[in-house]
Amino acid sequence: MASDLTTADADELAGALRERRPRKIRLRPSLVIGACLVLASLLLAVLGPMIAPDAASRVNFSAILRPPLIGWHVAGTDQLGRDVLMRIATGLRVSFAISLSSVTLALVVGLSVGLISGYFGGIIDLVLMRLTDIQMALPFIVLAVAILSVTQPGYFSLTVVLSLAAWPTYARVVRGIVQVDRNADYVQAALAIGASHTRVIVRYLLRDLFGSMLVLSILDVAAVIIYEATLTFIGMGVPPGTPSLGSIMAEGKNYIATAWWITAMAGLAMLITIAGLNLVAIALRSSLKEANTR
Amino acid sequence: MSFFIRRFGQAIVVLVGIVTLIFFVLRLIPGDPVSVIAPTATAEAKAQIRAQLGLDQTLWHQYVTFLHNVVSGDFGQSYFFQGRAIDLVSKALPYTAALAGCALLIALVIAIPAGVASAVHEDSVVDRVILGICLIFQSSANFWVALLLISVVAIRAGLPTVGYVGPISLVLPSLALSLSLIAVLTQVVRISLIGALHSDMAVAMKARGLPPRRIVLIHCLRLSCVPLMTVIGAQLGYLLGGAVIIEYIFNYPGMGLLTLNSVLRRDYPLLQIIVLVTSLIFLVINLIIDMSYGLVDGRLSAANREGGSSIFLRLARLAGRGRTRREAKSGL
Repeated sequence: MASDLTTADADELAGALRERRPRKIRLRPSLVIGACLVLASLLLAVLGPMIAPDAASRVNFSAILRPPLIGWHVAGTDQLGRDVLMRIATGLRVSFAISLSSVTLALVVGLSVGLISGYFGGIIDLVLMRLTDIQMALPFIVLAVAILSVTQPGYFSLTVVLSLAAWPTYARVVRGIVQVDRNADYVQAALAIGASHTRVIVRYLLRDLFGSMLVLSILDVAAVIIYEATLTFIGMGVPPGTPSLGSIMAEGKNYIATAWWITAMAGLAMLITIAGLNLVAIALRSSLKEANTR
Repeated sequence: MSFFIRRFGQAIVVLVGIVTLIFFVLRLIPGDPVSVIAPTATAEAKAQIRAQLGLDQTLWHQYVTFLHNVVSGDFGQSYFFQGRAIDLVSKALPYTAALAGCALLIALVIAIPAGVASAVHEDSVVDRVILGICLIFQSSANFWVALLLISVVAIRAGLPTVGYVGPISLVLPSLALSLSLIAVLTQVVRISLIGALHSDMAVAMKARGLPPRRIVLIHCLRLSCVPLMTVIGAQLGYLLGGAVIIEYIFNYPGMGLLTLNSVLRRDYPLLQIIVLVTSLIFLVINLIIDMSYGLVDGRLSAANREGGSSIFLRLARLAGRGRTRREAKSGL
């Protein structure tokens, strides 16, 4: 998981991911399977609430705690007779929205810190890297729980806190790549003919970072979905009222002895999404490696 | 040696940074500990409590007092629980250590054979199946696994699911915690072993007629130790942090549960020492791991004496080459 990377890990990753953008991405089986899984859960998240806008909250006392595959309820119903699949669809929507926005935030922060640190070096580099060390030595859940307990619950604070988990990895990886690229002949040549630092960064360095950032972001979306569900599960994430994967599982926990499907199905949906994201990331990483060694 | 001094200095800087960060994060974000400790107290009583706890001082004054106290080993009283914060932590710590240790043990016992099997049969059905299982393990949230274990295993096997009633209580939480660790460690063993098996060293040994079992288990697996240690060090944060949610589900009396309790009660002194102790453990173990690379792998201590670049760069240079010094000397 992203926040559990140490300095050494991130440096190593920077080495492994130091690849250019591949010209062609091979359609390996893992990529296809992964993409299908992600697409399936995205479709469920997008279409589910569109087809039946109120299905996730419609209470039906004549169909309480129905096991899966009875009647229309593919994933069964919960203690209020609400359709579990529709609740999962809404929950996935929340998960995707939060994880995408916090990974974007982490990417922007990590990319900026890494670029500045790797490009300019010196004392700035030293300070910024100690900052990432501090962030990495703090167990994320402990920090997140500490911050979320004192802020107003809401999407904004949750997004910011979740991005805290991810940004040091980006900063480390970007720094590693930029440090090497900065001394490459083509960068030196560009500087020699009078290109500005901004131009060098935007025109040359960012391009090299694309592949590794893509892989890292996909892995992080998966990690953040788990973190978000974890925090919501202990009542500190998504505000109550909105169904999310974490809160569905937390509610299901109370009925686990009789209605296992509430928790099991929500977790299964999460498992499918995350396995899909991981597969896509792994396949892309292999493609990048191949492109580099070719 | 200078490497270790530098590394040690870095760890100290990081620790001070963490202490400072958590101090200001807790105090700058709105939220009043006094109204949590004594929600029904009158305004005067609240002011009195605030003065007693030193919360009426300016922030900088509080920070300096806090640093002074930490240096002199006084971590303060818990606001909410009876007794000193340090005592509460030292009571909870062994439980979490046992949990993390058990999870790590389970993970190693499963991951090393699985990784070896996967690497030896690279790209075969066995390898695919093991990697597939790894993917599933890695993609499942540990708290979901914990809930499944409770609903499927605990009720049938009669295992305790709440609190600590003896070592048997460790079974389910450590299983839930170890799952993603198994996945990560298996992949580490697999990748490093594949690298070693393709190395000149392994080919030479095969040519000399050493039994394959000996090549894999004695000569090649040894090279997996260093990456394995690095990753275990990195996963320590997961073990300590992941314990929060697992301890919450199993109501296990460790650091994680203490963290949640202190957070919910705005128990600053307690939370500060929890964060301090957790990160201290993380940093110290990672420092020990850094320092013991040389003991495990002779090539690294030799590289160390030459000094120069960071140990990780040296590791990267060594990775995949898989020749020990002795082998290099004997001209293989």
